[in-house]
Amino acid sequence: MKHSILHTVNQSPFSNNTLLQCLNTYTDGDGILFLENGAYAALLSQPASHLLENKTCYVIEVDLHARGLLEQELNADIQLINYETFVQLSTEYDVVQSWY
Amino acid sequence: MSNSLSSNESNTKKSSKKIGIVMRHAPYGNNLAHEALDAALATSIYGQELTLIFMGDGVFQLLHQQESKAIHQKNLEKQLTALEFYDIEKVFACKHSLDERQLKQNNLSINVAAIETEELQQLLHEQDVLLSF
Repeated sequence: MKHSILHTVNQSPFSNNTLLQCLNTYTDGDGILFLENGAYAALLSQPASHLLENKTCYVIEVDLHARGLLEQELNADIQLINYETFVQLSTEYDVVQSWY
Repeated sequence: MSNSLSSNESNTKKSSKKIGIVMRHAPYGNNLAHEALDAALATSIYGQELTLIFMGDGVFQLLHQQESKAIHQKNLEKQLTALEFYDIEKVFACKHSLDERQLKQNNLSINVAAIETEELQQLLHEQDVLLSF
């Protein structure tokens, strides 16, 4: 049986390829959640930005806020969420895979 | 909600879960490789369906002729070769990661099945639980 995976990414796409490894395993029905330094993935300027098109992506809003990123140009395809939604999402997807 | 219901049903039908252990970090820089293998050996005792997946820098864990004594660390190779004695036979490595690092099967300390990206995706999505190291 095919399970849905919630991928969590906590590394900046500017400094390593964690997000690219994650994207290699992404299939339809999955979600990607950016947290901690992963929040930089929400910037439109990040190198893998175009690869997030048509994918379900979330970012923890306070992680953007803390890093001063809310005023920057962000990828509109990424949903801003809070920790409550994070918890809810981790129950809605079948499996969680953390990329760190 | 329907997802959690169906997974509960399958749990009552069979108690064993498909557990995937994903290794993505090079050995010795941190303790993740050892912790992953400890988790694998411990899990195997409970009769779960275990699958080991090496990808990214994790494939460096498989390299043979590791002389970790030189940096005063326990050798990973010994633990890896012990896997077969614990009946852990489903050991896979991402072919792309091996190729990227120019590693061939004869450079590795154990036999692994090198799998293409598509098979890797399929394998990950089959697991009931993923443990990431």
